[in-house]
Amino acid sequence: MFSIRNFSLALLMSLLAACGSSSGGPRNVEIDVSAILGGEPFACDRLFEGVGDSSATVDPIDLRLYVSEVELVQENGNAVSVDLTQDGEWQYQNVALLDFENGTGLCGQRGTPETNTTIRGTVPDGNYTALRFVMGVPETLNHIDAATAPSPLNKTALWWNWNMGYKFIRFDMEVFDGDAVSEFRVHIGSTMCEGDMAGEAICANPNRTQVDLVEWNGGRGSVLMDLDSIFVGTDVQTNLPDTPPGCMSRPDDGDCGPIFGRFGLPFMGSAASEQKVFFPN
Amino acid sequence: MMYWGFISSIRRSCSNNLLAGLLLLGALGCGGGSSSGGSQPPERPDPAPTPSGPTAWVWDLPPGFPVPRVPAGNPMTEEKFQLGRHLFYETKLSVTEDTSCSSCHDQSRAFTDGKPRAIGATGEVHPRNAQGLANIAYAPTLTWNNPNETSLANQLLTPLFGEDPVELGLSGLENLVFERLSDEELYQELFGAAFPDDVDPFTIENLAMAIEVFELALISGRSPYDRFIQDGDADALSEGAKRGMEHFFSENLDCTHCHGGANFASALNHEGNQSDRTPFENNGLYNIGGTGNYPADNQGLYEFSGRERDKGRMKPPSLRNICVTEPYMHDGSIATLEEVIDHYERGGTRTDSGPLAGDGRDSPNKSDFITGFLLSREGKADVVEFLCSLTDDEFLANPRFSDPFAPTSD
Repeated sequence: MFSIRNFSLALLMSLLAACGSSSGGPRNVEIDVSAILGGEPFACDRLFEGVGDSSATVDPIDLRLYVSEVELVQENGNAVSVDLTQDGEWQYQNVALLDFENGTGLCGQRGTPETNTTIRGTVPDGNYTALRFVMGVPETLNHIDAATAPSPLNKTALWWNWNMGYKFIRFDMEVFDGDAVSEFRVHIGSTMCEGDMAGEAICANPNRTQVDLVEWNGGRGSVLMDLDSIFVGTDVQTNLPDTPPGCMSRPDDGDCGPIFGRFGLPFMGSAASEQKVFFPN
Repeated sequence: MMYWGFISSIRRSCSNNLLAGLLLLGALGCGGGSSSGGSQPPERPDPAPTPSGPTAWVWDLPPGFPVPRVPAGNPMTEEKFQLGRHLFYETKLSVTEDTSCSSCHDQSRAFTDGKPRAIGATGEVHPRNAQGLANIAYAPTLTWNNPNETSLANQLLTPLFGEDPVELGLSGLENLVFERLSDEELYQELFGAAFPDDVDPFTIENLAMAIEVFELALISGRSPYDRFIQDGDADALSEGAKRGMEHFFSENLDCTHCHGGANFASALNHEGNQSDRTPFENNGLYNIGGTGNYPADNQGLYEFSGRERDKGRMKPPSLRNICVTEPYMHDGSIATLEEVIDHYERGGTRTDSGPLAGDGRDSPNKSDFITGFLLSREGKADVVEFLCSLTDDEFLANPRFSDPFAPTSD
């Protein structure tokens, strides 16, 4: 794992964007996000070993997530919002879709060839040392009419209509256990929402992960999403009876307990904590 | 007798809504599309309409029925109705290409499926019983337990794209679906006629709006009961049904708190009444371990509110066509109407053993309206006979609502 992480780090350092350094006006910022599974770079159409507490072999089906409210923090603690590039495809207002699946292998079930693993925008020129963002769709956009929503909120694979919102992350995989094959899904989004969905909806469980990366490479680093860390405390080869496969955010699905904990989310009375999935890179 | 008061209230709401109906028609004549809707009579066009512009919609409502509330952004047109009808029966709208909306919503069963719990395209069993679609236009909320589902165009995205459970299984497959549809001349015509202003009419929004229009049009109110009440046809009901009607509307049985009004439902939303909210009620079907719990995948309104007292609270369905929509309850756990009446007579169902054991009659969450009653065997048979007089055979066989792809029998 250690060597792989170093490898990943090296790979990503080479991908770092050349941020503008001109004084004064806004400068471009590109934040690469990479994902590792089984200690290796995530990819579709291949097997990964050593996943979860039972060290299972898995075959990815999907990995997509929304990030929003991206901020860079200056040395003096002041945070500025990254003004996301409105590209008409991956970013809308202050939300970006990170799409790691390329439609090959099992990812072809719902996926597409296009991928996006970079957050793009501008910030005022300055000296930034830390990065903050939220995994999730902001409340103001989470309950909009999906059928007319602009990209990237128009991907039906991330719709969660019965919950009147979006899946903030969908990370699905096939899990092998001897000859047996099962599916394990991680779908996290807001639940128990009530009220006027076109106005003031209140969700008892917002389930948005706040990410604060303080040791962030002088403001020019990238982000590592450690998928293995999601499953610390989880055996992906088992699933509680009479519950959906994996964790699909049901407030009473015990399979979600450890997973929500890794995302820093409160669950079944356990308090929120610091997330342990996203790291500076 | 209580039901006479009920009838006069229907008549009042009818006259009140005449004006609303005229206003609606006026609005349709003005808006609705690029070319003028004109004032053509409401023809029943061929399945493939001519691309001559939106045809003004005229409701063909049964006597006593108010004009349904139509979403402002989606005025009714014949062209959208025809597109929606085809899409409703279209198996290309499933991951397996062998399942459609109609697979769980069969016209001959008042758009239910006869199964305890619906089964999706890939074989996943839904936690709940497929609900009928008759008069869904009048329902303020749409599904068994979701208080947020107030728009058909939004609700239908769940069976199309939902994954927990998989119903039609189209999550992530929207591009493939529109490839399938746009390849067909039939859908080029139908989408083009329904949305003549759109450069590319093949969008999820348009698909959803067309199916919504079809569903809004599924009005059922020409049963023997209606002929008896509205047309004064004394012979429309049997003597047993008439006795059953007395029981049904009596304070003893107290059915109409949850199954009242023109639609025998807990709420009636229409042009003259736009704010009605559906109450959700616990009818004492379960009380697992005496805690008020329902089975974990069927906790009712609690799923959205998280309030203990909302466990087991479901939307009381309309009783129109109830005779052909067995089995009953949100989970299809009661097979016959006779047993349903037994359940309410007892004031709840007792489960003696197994993981669901408990006495629903004693549930802390049970509705105050369900207090039990005593009714003779003959009385129950009469109530069933009355409930079966709510079956609208014309609706169940109306060719307007039928499968356009079915081989014609004539």
